[in-house]
Amino acid sequence: MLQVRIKREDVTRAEERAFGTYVHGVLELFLDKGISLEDAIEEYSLGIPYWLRDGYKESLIEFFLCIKRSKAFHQFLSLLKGAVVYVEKEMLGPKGQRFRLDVLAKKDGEVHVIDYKLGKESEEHISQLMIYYNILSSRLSERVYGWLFYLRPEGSELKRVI
Amino acid sequence: MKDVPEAVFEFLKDKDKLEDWIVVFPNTRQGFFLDSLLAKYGLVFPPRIFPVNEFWRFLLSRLMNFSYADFDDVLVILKDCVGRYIQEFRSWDTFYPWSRNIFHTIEELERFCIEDSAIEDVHRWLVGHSEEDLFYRIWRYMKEIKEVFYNRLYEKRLFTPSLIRRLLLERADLLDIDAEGIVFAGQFLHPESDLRLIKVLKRRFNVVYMLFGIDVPRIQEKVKDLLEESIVDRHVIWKVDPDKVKVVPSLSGIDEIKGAVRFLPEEIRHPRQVGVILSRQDILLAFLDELGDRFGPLNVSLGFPVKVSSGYSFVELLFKLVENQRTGQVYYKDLINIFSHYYLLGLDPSFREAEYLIKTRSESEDLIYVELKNLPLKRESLDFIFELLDSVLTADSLGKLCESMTDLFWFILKENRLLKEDFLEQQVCYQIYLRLDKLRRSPLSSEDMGPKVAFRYIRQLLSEEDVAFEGTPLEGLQVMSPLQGRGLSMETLIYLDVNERFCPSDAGMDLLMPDQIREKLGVALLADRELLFMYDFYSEISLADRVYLFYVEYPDRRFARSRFISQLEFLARKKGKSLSYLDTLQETGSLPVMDVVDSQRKFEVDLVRLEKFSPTSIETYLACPVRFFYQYVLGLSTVEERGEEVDRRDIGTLIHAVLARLYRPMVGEKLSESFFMEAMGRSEDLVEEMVAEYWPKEKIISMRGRAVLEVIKERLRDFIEKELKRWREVGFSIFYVEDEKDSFLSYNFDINGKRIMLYGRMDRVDIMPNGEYVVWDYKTGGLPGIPNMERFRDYNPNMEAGLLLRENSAHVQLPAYVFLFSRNYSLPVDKVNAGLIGLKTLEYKTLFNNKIKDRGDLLDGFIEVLIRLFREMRDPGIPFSVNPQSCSNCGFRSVCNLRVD
Repeated sequence: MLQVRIKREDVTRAEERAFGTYVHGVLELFLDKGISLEDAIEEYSLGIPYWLRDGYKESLIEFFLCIKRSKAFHQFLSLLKGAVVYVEKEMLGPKGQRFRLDVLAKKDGEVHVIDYKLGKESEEHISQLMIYYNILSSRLSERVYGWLFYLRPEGSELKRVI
Repeated sequence: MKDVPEAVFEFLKDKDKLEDWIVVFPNTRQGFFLDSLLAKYGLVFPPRIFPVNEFWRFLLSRLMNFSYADFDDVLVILKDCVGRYIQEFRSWDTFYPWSRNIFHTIEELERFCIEDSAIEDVHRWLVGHSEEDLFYRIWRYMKEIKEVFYNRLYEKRLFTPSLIRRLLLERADLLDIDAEGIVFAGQFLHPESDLRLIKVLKRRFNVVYMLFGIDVPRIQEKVKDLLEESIVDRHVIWKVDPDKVKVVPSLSGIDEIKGAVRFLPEEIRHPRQVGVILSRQDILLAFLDELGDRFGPLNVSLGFPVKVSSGYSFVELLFKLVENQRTGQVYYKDLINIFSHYYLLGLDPSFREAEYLIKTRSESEDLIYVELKNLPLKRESLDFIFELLDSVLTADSLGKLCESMTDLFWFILKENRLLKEDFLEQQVCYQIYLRLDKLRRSPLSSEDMGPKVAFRYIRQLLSEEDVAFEGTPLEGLQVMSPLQGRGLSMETLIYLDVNERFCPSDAGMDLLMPDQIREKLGVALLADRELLFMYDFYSEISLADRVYLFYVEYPDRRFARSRFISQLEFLARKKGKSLSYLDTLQETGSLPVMDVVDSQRKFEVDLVRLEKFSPTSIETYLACPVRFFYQYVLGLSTVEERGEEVDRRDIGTLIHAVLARLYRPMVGEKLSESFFMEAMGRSEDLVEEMVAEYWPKEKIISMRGRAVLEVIKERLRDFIEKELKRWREVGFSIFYVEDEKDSFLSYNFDINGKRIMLYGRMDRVDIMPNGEYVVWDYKTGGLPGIPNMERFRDYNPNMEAGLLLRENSAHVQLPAYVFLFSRNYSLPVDKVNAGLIGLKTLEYKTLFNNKIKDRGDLLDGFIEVLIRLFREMRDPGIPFSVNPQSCSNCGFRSVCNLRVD
């Protein structure tokens, strides 16, 4: 009967998705403010609604401890070293739709777009990055590279896709 | 003529560091339109764009760590603050219905920076005008309450919109924002306080303010000072041109929706092509349903109100169950309603079986909750539901109630098969679950709140919830609420329900700050809110190329054609023209009149709903089969039933309850002169006592509520006096008085192997000195005609049963009561009579008079006709057809779409 798409919350995955939002939030604070991951978790936890706070902070700490120890995280930091870094920067698509880039780093005449991902690899992740690439490469003079940063406690990966 | 996004685009397009600018619009849609202009111009990194409410939060987040105050948090603190000053509060139950008003009043005082001395002046002024009631006391301590309240919020870093404004006014210099400039475009909320805020922000930032005037003198005058601040040339004003406006009257809401869809082009090519504004949120689904998928993607920016969902009706049923329970027992009817609800029926087959068993039990009058649990259905989910209902019934705090309800809603969400197919309702269910879960975890949950108050609070919260739709902002048809189209130019704008109360929207009465007090304080009057609405309305009309204003010709004058249409007529006349009207019948084609529910549809009816009949449902069928279909088969309610005003049902419930309370102690006792005298004396107190139990607080304190109560008291005094007179004349004693738990009588007929139940609820039974039992029914309105039972002696067996009964006054209640009472109490029919008592007219009418000696034969004839009627009602070959003679007072007239002269 209803012909419009409703914001469909998959009820069983709602908490999982909320966790993804929090991971992005902590990384935004970490890069934007240049503070430690621990401080970023502490600061971000204040913004989590009190009714969802139970256990979240602890899960975030545990999650980031694993990420911090990973090789991929060090690669990620080296990629950003010496670059002008924009976090959660918004970009316009050809029709005016907005895309939010997790990280956009400019250095040495190159532009690197990094997208955080949780969970398994998928074709969709690459397609999404291709959209960013097409927009940026058509409007900017710099060479554009695309990266996917898979954040997993059991083995993070930083992959150059474009 | 430029609209708001175009004006901002012109200003920003060639700026260096565009992404370092901030743009604040009244709402999100203007931002999408600006983005589309910027993208077309080839820009890649846009400015930060905020709708105004989010902007204040953003600013505050740059000043300090804070939480945006939720009403759940605020309420606990407010209660504490109010309690400090109003120790003599009789019951905190009184506080909850007022809490929102108190909060909004404090917020308004703060927003308009009202001095303490002005608040004290109001208190002094009120001393001479008000008694020592809550209203007076709140104002007496308002200054202190406000101060303590905000201090407490500040300590907890909880911020309300007004507190955010206060902090920004005081500490704007400390804002940690790196922006080239801030553009405020196309809005004003409260001219005086907006102006103050802009001036403060200008000290710190490069603030660019853009506002357009509208060539309506009252608006020009109001925004004069703000226009001084605007960079848009103040002589550029949006012109209201009545020439491009066409007004379309409609006969009904459905007619209007169908008509509007017919005005839509074949294809929507771009987002500025057509905008549809729905003044009423509750027609959204009907509108989307009518659109179908013909128009591709939509951008719907108004939500679906939870209040009209099945989920909300389920909460209402739970509320009834809790409200009506007595010492752990619940009403049969309440439980049936819950088991018949879509939320439970979709769980597993055992629920349908349970529903069937409950409905067909002959001893239903004393079917109680405990027995139900022992039904021979032992499925896991059924037991689980009973457990959950038990925990809802026994919850003794808001927290526990929310906990039980979240468990129940979560279970339904996961297990209901029907819900999985209906993803709007699934979303509603999930939203209710989330809201209750949030409330459960809030500080409010530990509040000592009785179950009725807790339920009312939950109901209030849920009635404000919407299910958001996700649209495609830059594509397709734009479906908006009235304020979302402001400042945007559309090629075609279709505005629905341009009726009073919706457009301008009815702000409602403010209990704590009526206009007299607003005027004294210098706070915006209710008329100013209307002016704001007017500004937005005319901005939409001015900027569109073509405008269609639909209004519905509601019979209720409160929903008359909007004053804005009259204004436009006036504007047109001033220009020597006239406003064009389209005849909806000619231009859009009228809806087919629904004068018959055809056989096919009748087949689709759940036949369970045609297995149980009360005299009222039968009489509804006799009055109009289609009305019966809407009310008893589809379960629709009329506008009146949904309304919040005191209506005849409230009056009836209260009077019945008072009379029951009055007479119940006299069952089996000897009546006396002193009983009636004493009853007359205490009837007023009893009304006051019972009203608190039966009516929600808001109805009791409403002006109409108070007036109605006075009439009820007067009527009861007169009635008791009349009863005394009658007792002196004929002498009677009380055999039975209605009681909440056992007042249903029922009888099952076997019709073609199917059990069909007739049931009824008696108000009172008297025993007359000659040993006759008289079953009475109180009527608060006029008395209907009494059927002539002689007509059932030798009726024409070829005549349709419906016609036969209709020709004989169509009143079946009294013979049905005689039948039910004699069967249930095993009494000969000759010893039983039934009658009506008119509480308004103080009349008594009985079914049988002394001359009739063969009551049994006559009643047998009536029952034969009734059984034939049941067969006709259940026969899919006989459609439900409209009886046009009963349309004039029918609450479903707009659904049928019949024009009644």
